[in-house]
Amino acid sequence: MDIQRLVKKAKKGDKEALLELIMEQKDDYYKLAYTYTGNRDDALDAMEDMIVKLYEQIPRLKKPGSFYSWSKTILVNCCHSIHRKRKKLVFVEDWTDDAGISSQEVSPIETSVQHMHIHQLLSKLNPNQAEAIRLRYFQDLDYQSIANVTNTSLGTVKSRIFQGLNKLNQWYGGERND
Amino acid sequence: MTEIERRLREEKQRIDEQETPKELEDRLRSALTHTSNTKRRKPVMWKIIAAFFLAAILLSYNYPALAYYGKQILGFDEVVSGTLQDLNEAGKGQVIEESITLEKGVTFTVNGVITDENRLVLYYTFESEKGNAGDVSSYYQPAKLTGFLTNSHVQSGHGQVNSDGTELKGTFDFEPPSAFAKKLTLHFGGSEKTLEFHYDPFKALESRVVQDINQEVQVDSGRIKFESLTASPTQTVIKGTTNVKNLDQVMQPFGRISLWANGNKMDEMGRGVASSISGSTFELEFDALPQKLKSLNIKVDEFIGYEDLQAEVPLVEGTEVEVAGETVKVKQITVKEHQTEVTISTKESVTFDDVSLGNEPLSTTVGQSLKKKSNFIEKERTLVFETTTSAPSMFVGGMYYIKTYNEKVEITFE
Repeated sequence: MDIQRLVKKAKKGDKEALLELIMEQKDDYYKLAYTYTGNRDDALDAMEDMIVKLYEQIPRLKKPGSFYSWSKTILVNCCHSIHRKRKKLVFVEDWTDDAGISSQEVSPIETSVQHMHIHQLLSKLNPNQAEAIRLRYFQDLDYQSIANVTNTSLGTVKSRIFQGLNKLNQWYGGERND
Repeated sequence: MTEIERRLREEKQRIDEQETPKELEDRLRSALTHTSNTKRRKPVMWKIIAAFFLAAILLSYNYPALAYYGKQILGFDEVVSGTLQDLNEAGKGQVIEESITLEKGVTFTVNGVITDENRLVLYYTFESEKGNAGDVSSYYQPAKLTGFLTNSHVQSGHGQVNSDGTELKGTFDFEPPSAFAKKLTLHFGGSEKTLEFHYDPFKALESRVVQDINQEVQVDSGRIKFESLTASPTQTVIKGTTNVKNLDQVMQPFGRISLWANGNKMDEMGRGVASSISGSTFELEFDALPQKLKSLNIKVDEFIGYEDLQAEVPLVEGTEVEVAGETVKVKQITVKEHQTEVTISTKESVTFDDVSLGNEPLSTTVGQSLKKKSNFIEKERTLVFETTTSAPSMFVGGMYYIKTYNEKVEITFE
């Protein structure tokens, strides 16, 4: 597949070319979105937001070769804004205390409850710490790569992950003691 | 591995196992379909559009000015008319008819303006109910015109009072305003009040022609270079430079340079000289050129000349000596305590240079007076030397005088 040619077409407003570019790496995009959102619907919403933004902003993309890194940055931003919306809508009333988990969020299926827990716990964290942990554990990135992606220093990344995990352990312990 | 890490790894595995939903492609396509093109504008397009609008505004706003300069560039440079009165009668210029009351019973009206490259002529009327129009007009003299890129000071003016003194009509000359000015504000010397009027360069401006002359006339101790001629419907201005030093040694050195059009001498309207170390620039103003121009030339009838004399003038009271064709009269010799005074007379235009008595150079010249003789003006002055040593004669190194050159510069029109 000729990425350069497709990017050129997309820049001129060819919607199918843009779609083709995304579908070429659809699994990567989806997993990245899922890493941040933790559920299927939000991941799909984030990707919808992303493709609209890509379509609007691609005329300003200078290097066609950097399409994938550029578009993934936009996807992460879309996930962040979805996360912010969800936090406003759900989190404030549902998350009653550090350890408690709202009964509304508890699904009858045990595994699902557990997965929701880990994402809910992550959302409760400082967003920077949560992002670092997500990238470290869900995307398997090393510290340096995380530092590059989040535009911080190696030390900050290590500290964020350490502090984040500490808090999670604390909360998780609390939950276990319930 | 802590419990939380175990949970994180589990979640990672679960994410890895996630199948990308089948409907992803459809959802993305539908999202795209509902996206309009309106937000997809390249930044460079904005710049072009902005530049286009800016250019459109500037061009349309200043169309008259551009047309005016366009004419010059494209060479529609025929000289169209004669003097101010001709222009006025031909209906050229812009009618204004704006009035202001300067004090009770005193009004000033701008009747119209004519502008060209060289000046703006403002036609005005002073009215005074008390019949003292002449007096109030001198108090409320217009001082300047201001406007966009314009700060034109008044240069001259004249007017005529009617028999009962209630009305004064005349013109003021101002420096030309900017062709980009749309409104002009008239400021008065004796009042804070101002009179604003619309100015339409398209009506008021007249075509003009700038002709390069670039011809030189050699004179003693230098040259006169005529550089350009600017002909407008109201005036003709010749600009040039000269490297001749000591222009002030004769009265009005440029007074004998004349402009001839179709064999007729043009009325001279003014002249100016500005000196600097490198030389002097001059401007000679004449009346407007005739409509049909067949020939045009500048005549340098006379100009400052320098004669190297190295002559001795015998110091005997009452003698007359001829030096280089000029008569010098030695009228009186007075020896005082520390100085010797020699009173001589020559033609008005003659000035001696490098004068000394014995070895003592001229200290100063005093008591200069002019006397009208039958066919020339006699200049008498007293030369003062800081010496009492008697000498039989006075040394004269050179002489500035009005020299007849009769040089002619033909101006050719392309």
